[in-house]
Amino acid sequence: MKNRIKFSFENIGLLVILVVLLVIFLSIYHPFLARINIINILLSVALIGIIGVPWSMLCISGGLDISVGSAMGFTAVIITLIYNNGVNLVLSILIGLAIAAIVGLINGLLITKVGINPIITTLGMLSVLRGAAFIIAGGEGLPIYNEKFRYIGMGRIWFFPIPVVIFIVFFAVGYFVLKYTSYGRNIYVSGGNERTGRVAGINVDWIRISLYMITTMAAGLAGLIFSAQLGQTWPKAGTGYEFAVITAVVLGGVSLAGGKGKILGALLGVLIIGTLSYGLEITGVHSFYITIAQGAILLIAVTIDQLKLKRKFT
Amino acid sequence: MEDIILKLEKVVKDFPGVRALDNVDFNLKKGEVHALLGENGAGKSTLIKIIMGIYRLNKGSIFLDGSSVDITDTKRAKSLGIDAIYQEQNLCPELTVAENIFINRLPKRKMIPIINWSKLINNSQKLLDEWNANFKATDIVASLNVSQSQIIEVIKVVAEKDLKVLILDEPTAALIEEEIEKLFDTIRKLKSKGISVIYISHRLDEVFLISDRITVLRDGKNVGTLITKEATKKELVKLMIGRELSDMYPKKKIEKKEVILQVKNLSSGRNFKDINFSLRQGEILGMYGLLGSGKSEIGKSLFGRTKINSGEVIINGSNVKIRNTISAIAKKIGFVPADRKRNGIIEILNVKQNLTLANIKALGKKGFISKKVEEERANKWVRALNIKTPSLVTKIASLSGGNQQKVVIGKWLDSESKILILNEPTHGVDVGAKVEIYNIIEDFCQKGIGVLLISSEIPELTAICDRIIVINKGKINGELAGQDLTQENILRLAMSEVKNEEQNKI
Amino acid sequence: MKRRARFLNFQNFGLIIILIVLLILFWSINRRFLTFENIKNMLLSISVIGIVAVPMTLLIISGGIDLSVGALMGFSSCLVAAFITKLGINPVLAVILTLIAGTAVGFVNGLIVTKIKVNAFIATIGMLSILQGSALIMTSNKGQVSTFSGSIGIENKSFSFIGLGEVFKIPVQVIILIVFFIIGYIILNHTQFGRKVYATGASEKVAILSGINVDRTRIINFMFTSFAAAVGGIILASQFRAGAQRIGSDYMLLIITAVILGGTAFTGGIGTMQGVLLGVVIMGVLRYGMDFQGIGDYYKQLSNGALLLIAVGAGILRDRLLGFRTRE
Repeated sequence: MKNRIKFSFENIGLLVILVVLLVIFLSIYHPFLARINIINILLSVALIGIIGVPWSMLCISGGLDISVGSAMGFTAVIITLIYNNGVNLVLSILIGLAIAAIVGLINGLLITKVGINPIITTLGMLSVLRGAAFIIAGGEGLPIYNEKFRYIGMGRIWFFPIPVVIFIVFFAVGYFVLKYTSYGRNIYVSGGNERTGRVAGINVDWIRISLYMITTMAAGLAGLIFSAQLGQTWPKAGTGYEFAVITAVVLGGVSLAGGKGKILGALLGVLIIGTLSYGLEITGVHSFYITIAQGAILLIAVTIDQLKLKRKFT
Repeated sequence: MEDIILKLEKVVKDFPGVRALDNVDFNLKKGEVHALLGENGAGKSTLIKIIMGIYRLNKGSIFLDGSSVDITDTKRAKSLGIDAIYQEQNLCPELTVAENIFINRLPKRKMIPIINWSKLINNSQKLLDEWNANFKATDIVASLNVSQSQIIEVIKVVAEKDLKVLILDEPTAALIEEEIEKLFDTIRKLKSKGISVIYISHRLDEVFLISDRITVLRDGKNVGTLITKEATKKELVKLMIGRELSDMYPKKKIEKKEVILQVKNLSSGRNFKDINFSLRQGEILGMYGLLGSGKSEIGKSLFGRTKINSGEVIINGSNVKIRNTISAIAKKIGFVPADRKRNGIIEILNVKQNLTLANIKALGKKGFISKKVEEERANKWVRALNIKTPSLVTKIASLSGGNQQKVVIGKWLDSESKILILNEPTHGVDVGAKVEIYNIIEDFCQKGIGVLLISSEIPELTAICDRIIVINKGKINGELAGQDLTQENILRLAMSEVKNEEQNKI
Repeated sequence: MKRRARFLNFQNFGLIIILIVLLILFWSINRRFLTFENIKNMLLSISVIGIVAVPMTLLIISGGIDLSVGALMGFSSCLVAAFITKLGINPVLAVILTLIAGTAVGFVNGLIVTKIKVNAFIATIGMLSILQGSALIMTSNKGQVSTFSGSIGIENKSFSFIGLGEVFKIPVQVIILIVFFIIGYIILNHTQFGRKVYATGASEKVAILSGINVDRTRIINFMFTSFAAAVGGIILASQFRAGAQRIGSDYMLLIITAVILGGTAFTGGIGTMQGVLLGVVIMGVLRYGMDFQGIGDYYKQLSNGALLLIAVGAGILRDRLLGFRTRE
């Protein structure tokens, strides 16, 4: 039973950090703006979270993907292009996501079947996607005209913005899959003890490949939402998002080595990073400092992760 | 005949250059615990691997429950109801016990295919209670100890299929007293379920406690199957060793000089306690013990690979602290590891690079490498140790095991070690090379090196060692020299505690 | 029978052929590709890649990697520009200080990877971000918020010599490149340190068990790599007469691809300087060739990524054919 309690302590610690952050930022602003700020924070969180949920699952299964930021811009450009050429909105989105899925498939195959290191593979893919996004977009920005598009980013269901709803759905599905399906538990086995999994008949490779595909698709969706919010599709959208995702997930207790982590923890990690980045923006901290911060926080998060591992084995 | 579940008839298994199994007959009764004894290289693990489908036999047949079977691979073996539990843990450390037991077979709810956690935990807990486990189904495997993990593995394989035969490979190697008793309870339970157990172990005390019959293998042959109740330790030891080997290796008279290494009250956690011995220049001190006795850890601790918790190490009269391997090497200690492939040689480097690996700074001046010096030094050892290699730049992976081992030994001679610790130095080495290596060791002892020879091959220990220390469960259980240095005595001290000497007379 | 290890192996010959094919290809599209002037420009393109590729090769052979080199180049360019223009420091001193700063970054990378044991990829990605942000801060003007095009101009004749000057008609950078390569080759093939580099990467375990200080070997390689990246950044700053964050940003992929193309394996213990030289030349020719044909930045980015994947994939397949284990 002692392991259950330890798990809660870690999450309580994160919860405390989150509350402290919220209090600090909200107290800088007038109280009556608080409600609006929470919505904005949630918007910021939602994007990281939509990618973060499948990314956590991929990481638990033993994979890694640093091309998600580029996949955001790439997919957004493709969807916008197709849509601007007169194709129905829903169909455009589906085609875009399908292409994202193929990218994920390529990543997965290169990593599991050819055997290339996951970070190098997704590093190469990062470059390919970013270059492709710019080439297809033919320049800097691609304006979007229709209100329907905007709706995805700005519309609301009750008073929850759509992206937040999508995030909540992702979180719920992710939680459910990881806890209540064989597929989900096999994800833990794939990352925890790959050999044992294979011997037990689990197809570790295809679990990872499917997660690469889902992660890239989720990144594509996040890219679409981001563009919808801006009203313009920029090929460079998503640059640097990898940091936020990795840091959020590691902070939330998912180990980069695989086999370990809970969606709930990842949620808290995403909330913290989302709040932090939003708060930094709002309080006028220069984006340049944020760039430094995201690198530093990543290093700190990974160090803590590593020290936890070390402590276990001594 | 009806109660024989597994039968091997005239099984032959050959490898290039050696016949590992020579017309072996073996039978296993339903519900019996059958111990498999034999020295290193006698054929135990080969036999097991054939039963588990890891190797395929060259000649002979296998019968399961009366019908002939062809065990093509491990999957087939498992589907036939044969499984094994080895040393490496086959569990996911971050998951619960329940999930590990039912891995990939998690129970689902009737209506919708989602995991039924309460059923999973209840079923697992029921199993755990049935097997008298002292932990819960909801515990995380990483928080349990070796003994508990072992029980999970047993429950897992039993629950998985209709298990008929379970192979346990040195199951008590990592366990302490109380845990061994728990394991025996588990084994008795297996028996009551009609599951047969093949129990591989060196530990005679345990074998006598838990097994019904014992089969002894020697040099790839089945030299005897006895009923445990009717057997004596003396008989078994004689079977395992066979006739006294004729003295292949002429022992040289080596003049012994001062004490170069002294070890006092050395302890390291669960590995070993209160070890005391001394080693002189020119002496070959042997160390024998069963798997898990701690003998390797003692050697490793003197090389900085295993942590020393308390005690003193005195080299040439001064007290030293061996913190890590670099510090050990600086004190002129060399270590030839047991796993040559992983720890001894760097496969993608060539012969001369491996030979000079531990003394790179001697290869030239001011940090450079002089090809001439490198070749001179390497050639010296190739000649002295008679290393058979097409050239100095041949990749070491293409040398034979014996020659690779000579390179490893040469590496430490090149770094001018004064204390050489050898851990299973002739493991996987053919007979010809073995003799050469023994002669090499004796030659260099004459030049003033002190050797600590850790080995589980008794013949080699009796052949070249002047003294032998026997380690039993982490403690020194006796020291033999001169007339007392016999193979029987060594085995006896290793397999049973001194206080149990009465049983030897039975 | 004595047999010397071959200077150029099978893969290297393949690269030479590819190089010749590329040259012929670009030349046939535009005859002026191979004029003396243009060849010199091509060498300039190769230089910076090569200078960093040398220590990167040592680093990868020893089992490490550094993804922050591109960002460090940009950071160094900004740092040296800031020293000269904003602080008015003598260019020689500015260069020395920048080199020290760069080497220190490598030291930190090395510590994080060897002592805290953080994965080298992740650690250097984090460092990348920190360096990017720092460079941006240095080059931002008051009130300027989010553009990435800030820069610090450098108007200093003696400083420009580094990037634009020549000694006996050979550009300075090419000389630095040659020096680096010679040093790199000597280290790998003739020094005790080079032996330790190979051993550490080939089998860390056996290296430790043979008394080699693997942590120190890797840290030195990290420091050397960062040092080279700082040199690269200074050369580029001198060429552009300015320091900016975006300087060097596309180099990281080029450098790593060049090293891998040259036959270096990520798994460690394998690689040669002569192979990497070929890889560097090919990458340089490609880059320059594409520039020459007017191919846009984005096509280059795409092809760089694809090329990296192809190079690594080919390397793994080659290793498999030769019978090495490619995956644990």
